[in-house]
Amino acid sequence: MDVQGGRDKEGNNVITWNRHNGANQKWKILYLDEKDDEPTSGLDEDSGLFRNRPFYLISRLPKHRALTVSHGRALAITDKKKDNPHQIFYFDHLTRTVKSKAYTGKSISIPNKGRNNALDVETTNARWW
Amino acid sequence: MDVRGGQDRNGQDVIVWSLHNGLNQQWDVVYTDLPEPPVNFQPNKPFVLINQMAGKRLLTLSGANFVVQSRNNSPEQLFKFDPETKTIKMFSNQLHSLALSHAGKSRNLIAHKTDGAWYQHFILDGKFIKNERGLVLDVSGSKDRDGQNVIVWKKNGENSLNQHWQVSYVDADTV
Repeated sequence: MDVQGGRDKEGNNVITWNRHNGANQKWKILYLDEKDDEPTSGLDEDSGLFRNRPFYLISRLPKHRALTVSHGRALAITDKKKDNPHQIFYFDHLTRTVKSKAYTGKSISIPNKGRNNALDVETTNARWW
Repeated sequence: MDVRGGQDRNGQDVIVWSLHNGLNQQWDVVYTDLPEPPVNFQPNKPFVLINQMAGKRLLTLSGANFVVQSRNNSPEQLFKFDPETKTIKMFSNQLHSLALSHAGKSRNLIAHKTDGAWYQHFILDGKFIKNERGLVLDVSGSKDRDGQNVIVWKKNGENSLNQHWQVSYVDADTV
């Protein structure tokens, strides 16, 4: 069973397809009489990140600058400043993306549907890029 | 995630790139609710210490004393941190470390045979090079000129450039 095109959107079609082990072919059975809500905090073992716990991403280059959302979209390194939301990110386990605290509807993405090598923040779509 | 071209400057863009394990591809996740980990010297890597006053002069050994001097790529400007003794050693003479003279009774900074005593212990604390008892490396009198003496002094708040230093790791072969 395969969510067609890997599109994680309401109403998307489900088909059968050759197995490729993508997330759009993985399913979890949730019995109705069992607790079905996932924890919203704690370590997410798949990603190695804590769920919804804000963090900085600090470069190991000598000046230890922080990853920063610049001009609302692009990602760059700048001097770390305490509590600057443009430098704070968190792991969202529902979409399995790293979201920006300054723009909570956006996640770190590879632009142009993964064709570029730049990085930015874009509206969360939970696709591979 | 890769800092493009390894350029460690404000505003440098971040991209995705093939893995090569360079420092520009290494990141630390620092959760905001935890105390920040101290950034210490990288052990045993040669570096220069650049004072952050306008002249950007380097800590330089002059005889047995330390002064600031314009960069001249000499061994007297090259250091390494020895994690075993917790001292900053001369890269060219690793028997000697930065020390407070007279076994810590003076505020003058000298090179002294490494003995690992408290008056030879320094850590990197942000922009400051801090002695174990809280005094920091200080260009005496804030005079930004070649040959000016370097001492340890109490921290003058956060913004005194004569107490700010940049650690710049270098390739020892270039010296």
